[in-house]
Amino acid sequence: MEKHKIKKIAAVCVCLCVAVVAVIIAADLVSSAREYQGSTTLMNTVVSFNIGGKDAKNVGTAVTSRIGKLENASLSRYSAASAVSRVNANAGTFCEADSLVVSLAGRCAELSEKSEGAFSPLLGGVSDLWGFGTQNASIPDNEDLSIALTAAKDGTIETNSNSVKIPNGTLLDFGAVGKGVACDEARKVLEESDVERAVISVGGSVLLYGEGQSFSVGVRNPLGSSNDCIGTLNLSETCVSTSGSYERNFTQDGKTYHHILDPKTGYPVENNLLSVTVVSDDGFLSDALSTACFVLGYEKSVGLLESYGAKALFVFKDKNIRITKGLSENFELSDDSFTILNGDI
Amino acid sequence: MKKNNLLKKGDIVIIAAVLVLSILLIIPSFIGSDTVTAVIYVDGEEYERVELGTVKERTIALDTQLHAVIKVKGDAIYFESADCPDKLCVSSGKLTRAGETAACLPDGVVITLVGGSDTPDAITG
Repeated sequence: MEKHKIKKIAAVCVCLCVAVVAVIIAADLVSSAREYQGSTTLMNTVVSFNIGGKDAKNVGTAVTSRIGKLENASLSRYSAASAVSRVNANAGTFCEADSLVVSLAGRCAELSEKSEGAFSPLLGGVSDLWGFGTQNASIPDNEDLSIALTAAKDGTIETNSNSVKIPNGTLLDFGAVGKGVACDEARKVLEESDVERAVISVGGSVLLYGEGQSFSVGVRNPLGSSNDCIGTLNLSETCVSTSGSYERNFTQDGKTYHHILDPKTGYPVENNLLSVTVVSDDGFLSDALSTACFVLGYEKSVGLLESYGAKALFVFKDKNIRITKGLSENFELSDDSFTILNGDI
Repeated sequence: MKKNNLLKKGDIVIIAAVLVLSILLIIPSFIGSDTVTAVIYVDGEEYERVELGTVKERTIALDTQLHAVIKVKGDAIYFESADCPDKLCVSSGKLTRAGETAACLPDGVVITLVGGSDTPDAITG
């Protein structure tokens, strides 16, 4: 072979190597620009997002901005300017509110009826007496509790096209649905973008977004630390929420009181459950049903979940797990100290 | 024996160097890194990234309203103290695995661990 020919081949090899490396590095840079991860604190919880696709960073900023607006303008009881605060300040009369709050109030009232009172959005006053998550958390005075509870039990929410009316003596509280609603609002932002894949986590509620994408969601161990999981749910695009007795609790006179209140007694729910994880394409429903099912218990939850087309995973105090129809094949148990009972219902 | 003049010594060195460099640069793209990195966010903005396991001990005192203090010790990172009322951040304990998160909500500080392998996309609970 001629000398110059071999040199030419060697030069081509070198050029090819350089080109391949350049392409890989460029692809890596482009891919990092299309990936955006972040965490912030909103709605009194951690909001994390992992977004993949065009303009990922701007979309992430838009998502946090939308959730911040949702909290301050609509849902927060602690923001004087929010629609919920106005409704609460005008209990007993119809009060104008934004369309989202009117719609949520109606949906909460419907779920309250369908769950036979296991879910109530009117327990704001009762919850304040307990003071969960504050320095003053303690067992409330019986008489105060009875007054706040009676008002919530006896009254119903009324809505019309642009107003909400709650009974006198009650406080509208979207705490049991807010994080799920934030997932729904985040999805609206994502749908307006060219993002291909996103995972938005608002506290215990998670939005999995992206057609044809696969996701894994760890289910927290109710008996472990906040980062300890009992297993993983392998899911496609949907929403997942969990309610558990391990969150926002306090101990008084040797007994632990958690934040999920039974609307019938005004006291924390006492049953055999540690947590309920609900999977639904609707963030509001996943969040609201996780609370409702925790209150109802496993047996009574099955029909309610079916009526909304939702699926759930129940973790019991005896470390048994029950999973509703169609979800068991999505769950991979990783903690052998827990046992899955009979799979489907 | 006739000396091979087809490629000079310098040519071979350049070709070998380019090949080695190519391989070194390409390898990380194909192998997922097991390195765990702690990302600290303050008010939603990334404050700092700390690769765990590379620092023996380090204290990060944040200039935030509630003066959160974060400690990095070997493979772990944790809230050492903060002037928040509930100290939930401190009781979150040590973070060591990718996917783990701890926060001081009143101070707007979040620590989240990224990297590693076999990490779920999110945790519900």
